Amino acid sequence: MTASASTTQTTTSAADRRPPLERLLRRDDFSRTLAPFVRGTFGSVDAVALFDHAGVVFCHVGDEQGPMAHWDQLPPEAHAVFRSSERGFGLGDHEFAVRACFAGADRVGTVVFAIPAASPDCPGLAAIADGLVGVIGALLQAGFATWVTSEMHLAASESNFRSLQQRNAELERAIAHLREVDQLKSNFLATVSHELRTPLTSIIGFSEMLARGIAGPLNEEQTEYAQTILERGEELLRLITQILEMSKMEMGTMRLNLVSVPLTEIVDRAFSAASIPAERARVSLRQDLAATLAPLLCDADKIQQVLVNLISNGIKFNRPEGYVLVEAERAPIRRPFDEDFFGEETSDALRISVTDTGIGIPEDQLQRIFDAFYQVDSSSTREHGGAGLGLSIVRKLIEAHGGEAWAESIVGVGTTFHFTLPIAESPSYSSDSSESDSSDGFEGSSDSSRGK
Amino acid sequence: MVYIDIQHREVTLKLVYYGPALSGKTTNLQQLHQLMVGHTGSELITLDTRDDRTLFFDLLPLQFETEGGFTIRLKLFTVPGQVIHNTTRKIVLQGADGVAFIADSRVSQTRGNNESFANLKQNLRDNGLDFEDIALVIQFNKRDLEGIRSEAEVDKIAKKGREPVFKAIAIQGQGVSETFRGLAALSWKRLEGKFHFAERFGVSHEHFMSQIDALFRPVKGGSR
Repeated sequence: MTASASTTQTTTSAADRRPPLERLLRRDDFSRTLAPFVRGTFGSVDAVALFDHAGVVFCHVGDEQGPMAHWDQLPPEAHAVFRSSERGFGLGDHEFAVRACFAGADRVGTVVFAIPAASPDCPGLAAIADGLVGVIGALLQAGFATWVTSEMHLAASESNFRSLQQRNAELERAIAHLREVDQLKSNFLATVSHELRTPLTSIIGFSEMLARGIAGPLNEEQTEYAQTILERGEELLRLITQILEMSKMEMGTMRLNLVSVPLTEIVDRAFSAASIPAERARVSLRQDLAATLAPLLCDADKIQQVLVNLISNGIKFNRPEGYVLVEAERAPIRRPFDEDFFGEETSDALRISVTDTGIGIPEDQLQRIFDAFYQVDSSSTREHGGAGLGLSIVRKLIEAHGGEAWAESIVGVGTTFHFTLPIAESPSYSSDSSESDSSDGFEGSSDSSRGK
Repeated sequence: MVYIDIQHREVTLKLVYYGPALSGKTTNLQQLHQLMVGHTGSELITLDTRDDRTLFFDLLPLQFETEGGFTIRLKLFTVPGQVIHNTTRKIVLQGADGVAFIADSRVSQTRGNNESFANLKQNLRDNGLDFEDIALVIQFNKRDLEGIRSEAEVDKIAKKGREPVFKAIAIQGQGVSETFRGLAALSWKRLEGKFHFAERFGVSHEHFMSQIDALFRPVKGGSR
């Protein structure tokens, strides 16, 4: 049973593989090759016709009054020839020679030669037919070789295409899955950090009350313990707030309140927020800002947060007696680019730079420091704490304003963080920023102040 | 890389219109196609996308006979300008004989121009082509818009390099044929230096350019 089934299958597939005559031979080539043999110098053969394997005429060579000019199908006499030991037949006043044509191992057609029965060449028809069928066979073999090659190419391409399609589908599924997981992660972070803040508020509140002696006097040691709980609690709160902010940004639910505000005001506020850790680390905070600087168009609280983040980093990774310097100048909104053949860009923004005299960041890490959760020193024994979110938040906030943030550093000398922000009077801000990609999903809430 | 078929007496040149997104590369080709009515062997092959952007590339094939019985084929390509399509740009740039860099004249687009120019240099390098060696012309397009670089500024930029610089309003057809003539002339000159067409095939530079000019003359008796 199995054997017979497989035999049937083989036969069918072999039949399927048989190339059609059109793919092996051009009708033009057949006519041109055989025309000289018809009523020419090679005897009085007056027609040659090629039929495909189903018996339908493929090409006829000879004049319109010829004996085969009106044959659409291989005649029954020709079919009969293959069942007998004969190699030809007579019909009317003509003798016909019938030969099979092969391509590879398959019979692809039948060729029939006609000669007037009265012709003196008639006895030689079989020899002429054998000779010519050899020529036709050679033509078909050449066509067959090309056909096999092209079929193989086709099969190979199809198989490649299918595997690519499959890979694409797999990748698409993987991307969809990753997006879903990423969304879940953001939701999880938002929920968890929110839930963590609630008990933390009690820890901070009650430890503060204890430390201040509201619940009764404490001795020196007890006060110190309560103070430590309070400080650590506040540190934890800052971390959790960062995570919450990050997840908000990733979910695109943060709004910017854009107003015109002088940079000096924001820098002063940031400096006062960072003054205690700066004193503790013996790092001085300096600013070098011209009084003529144009006001910024930004969300002042968010930019203050950016500056506090950068200044805190500058303090954290500094050396004692070092400094953190904030400078600003008019510059293009985009970071500098090597190629300037087409001229300088318009300086329609402010570039703010925060320089420290700290340990520096190796060149190969400069790009990655803005990635969320990335730490240059990721060892568990690292000197400095933090969730690795500060710079990621900085970049996201700056990009939400239409600016760019980047860093330059020399190891052992210090690091400079730059960021650009639009200025309030810039007329090109609104038109330029409309073309920039805003994939973060931020919205400017005070549109009236844009592009004044 | 120019394709020379001695047997069929054919020379095929590949000319590429390069530049930042929305600078008017496809518009240049569309205008050329209109200006050469009756001379173009076929239609402008373009894939229109929903938002007017070139998805893969546009192709305008041109063809004419020269005095030595040679057929010159010019294949004009554009590249997609958007940053993300760099792979396509690199492929289209393969084997280019000449490049027309279409820049946006607006000052606000300076960054786009500079980035695309740097990208052109990089992609030529990646394709094993020498930036100094390739025939390059520059077109400052969109001269009719507000906020553009002044004539003096454009002239100053032009003096920085040795590439011929053309000013254009492609959408109105201004400067389009000049840029194309400049590109064709420079490309042929560079190839002449390498392959000596005048000596080997009897096709002089003057004759080549007169045939290029003929492409812009109206065809007698309507279009083919």
